[in-house]
Amino acid sequence: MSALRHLNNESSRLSALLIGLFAAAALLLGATVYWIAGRALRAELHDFISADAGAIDSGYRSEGLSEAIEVVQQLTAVPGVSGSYLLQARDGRRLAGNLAPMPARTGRFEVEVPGAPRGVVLGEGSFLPDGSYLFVGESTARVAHTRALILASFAGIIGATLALAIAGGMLLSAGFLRRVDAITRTCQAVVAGRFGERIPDSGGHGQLDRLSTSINEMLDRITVLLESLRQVSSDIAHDLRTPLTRLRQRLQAAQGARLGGADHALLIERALHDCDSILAVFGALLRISQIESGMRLASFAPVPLTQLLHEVADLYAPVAEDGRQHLRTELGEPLSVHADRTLLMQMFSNLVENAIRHAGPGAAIDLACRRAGDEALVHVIDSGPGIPPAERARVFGRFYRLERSRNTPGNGLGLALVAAIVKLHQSRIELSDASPGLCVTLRIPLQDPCVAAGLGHYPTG
Amino acid sequence: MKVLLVEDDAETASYITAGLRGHGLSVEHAGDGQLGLARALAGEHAVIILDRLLPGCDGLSLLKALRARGLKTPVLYLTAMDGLDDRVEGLEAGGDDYLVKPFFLVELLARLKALARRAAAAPVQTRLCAADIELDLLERRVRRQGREIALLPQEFKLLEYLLRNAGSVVTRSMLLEHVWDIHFDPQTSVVESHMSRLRAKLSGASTTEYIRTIRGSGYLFVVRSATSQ
Repeated sequence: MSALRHLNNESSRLSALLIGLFAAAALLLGATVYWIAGRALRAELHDFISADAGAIDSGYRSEGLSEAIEVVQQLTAVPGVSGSYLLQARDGRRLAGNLAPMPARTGRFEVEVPGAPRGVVLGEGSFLPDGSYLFVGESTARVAHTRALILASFAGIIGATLALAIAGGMLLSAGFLRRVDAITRTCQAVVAGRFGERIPDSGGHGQLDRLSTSINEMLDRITVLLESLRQVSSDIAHDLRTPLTRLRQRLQAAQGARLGGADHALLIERALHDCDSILAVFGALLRISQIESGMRLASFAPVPLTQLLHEVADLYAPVAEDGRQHLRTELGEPLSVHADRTLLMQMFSNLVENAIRHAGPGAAIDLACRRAGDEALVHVIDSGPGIPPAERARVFGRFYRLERSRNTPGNGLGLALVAAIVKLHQSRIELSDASPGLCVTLRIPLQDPCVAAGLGHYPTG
Repeated sequence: MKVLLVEDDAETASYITAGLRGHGLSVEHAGDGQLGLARALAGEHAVIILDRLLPGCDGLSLLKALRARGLKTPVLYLTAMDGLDDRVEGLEAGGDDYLVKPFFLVELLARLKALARRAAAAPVQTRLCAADIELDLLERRVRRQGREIALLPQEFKLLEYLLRNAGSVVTRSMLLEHVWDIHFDPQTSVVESHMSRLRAKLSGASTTEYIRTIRGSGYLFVVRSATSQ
């Protein structure tokens, strides 16, 4: 929960920063508009003033003071006039205009006029050639009004921006938090034992999506490991019960019977044998799960495959011969694979031993290896009874045994172990009909030259 | 022959102690790593039997400490840890042999004797002789009463191992490990098949028994064969 609160703080801090930036940007924009609009409006007022003053001046120049008075009177006569005019004689007497007489002052200035709206008039004073004083002004009310309007609009805009930013920030952080919450909830569910829980996929490609995907993948991996562990436990529970029961019966029988020395020794030997086979199953199961968990990849190294197959053939040739079988090899050019040597040895041993044990006396067993593209193709072919097509996929399962081999020794884990080793080596195994007999085909990726040179790691997938 | 047993489980320890004493070995027992280290450093043991999981101390680090102090006594791990990498780790840390629990006493005994013999043997031996069999490691030849016997490379290795341990029992799993480097239990009679071929080649037309099968234990190369006496 403290992690969540921390994220919460992080996201609101981010929102606050964004809101502040938005507000500052809006303020700057507002101030600029305010200033530019004010300037433009004042310039416009000046233009009006200059135009009116020019008209009066030109009237004076063409027909004298009376015409100037006429022009002023015309200008002031316009209904709703915004301009302020004063034509004042040298003695301070008003000749025309709508302003009270005032002290003569030239140039641009503002003057307070009691009657005008907001009381301020911006104007320009000048003397006509005969010494009479002319003042033309315009009310600054429009400028003030526009400025007020701009200020009001921007106050509104900033307010709206802030509101939007706050709302957006809250929404964003709520969305972010909701996703973080979803991740937290999933993790807690997994901690609580619901291993099937996954973080919902939002379909995006952002960092949170990648995080979610990675966590989900990690959970998948953990699930596989757990499943393999669970499988081992349940296998042990189910499939060791039979031999343990048998052992118990034997010991119970021994307890009841009064046996002589030789019988007693035989019984103990059988009980020990039972124990050994139980331990062998136990060991094989653990080994399979260890291989399936993928922890063996660290011991991968270049392995001379062809040489290894020669060793396997040399190892089993006498055994085959003793069973009146013939182990033949066709091992072609030397090939090298990236593998765990120990496991590879065990895999080929298991396959050859399977052939020896199930093919029956007189059978031929062929061990062949050749290159096929970037793979090594290894065949273990026997001329025995083979495996019915319907059962071929199932023989790789744990404890699966063909009906007819129930009475031959073996714990039904040999091919499960082979399958685990094949998978670890990113190889493929196929069973097919050798008519008669079984053909096991293995495809093992040949060693990558980069790996041999220590330049890279082995391609996955 | 004096053996140091570093084992924390009292029941296992007393089983091993009693078993080994029954075979004429003298056993000193240390119940934890520190005691084990102290006793081992006395350096008077022919072999050390070391458990890997000891209270407060890993057998692996104990052995590293021993080797760092120059102790060369052969060490046999006796452990329940039989993961694929455990053996390699154990041997890399300076161990000489690795036996997984549960085990047969004869197996332990055979391995202890082999280790003690290896430590006591002359460092470089180029010729191994027993009975009227002579194996030349440099020429890679085997002779019986001076006449050469042709052996396959694996048969040569098998005979070499038997001769190095002539007079004592070697077990099936010792042969699989040392001759073929196999650390799993084959489901077929690999050792038996190779052994019968080697026997036939050694005996030739004679009836001399060189390799005796010890039921429930393994094989023994007879030092003085029945007919050469």
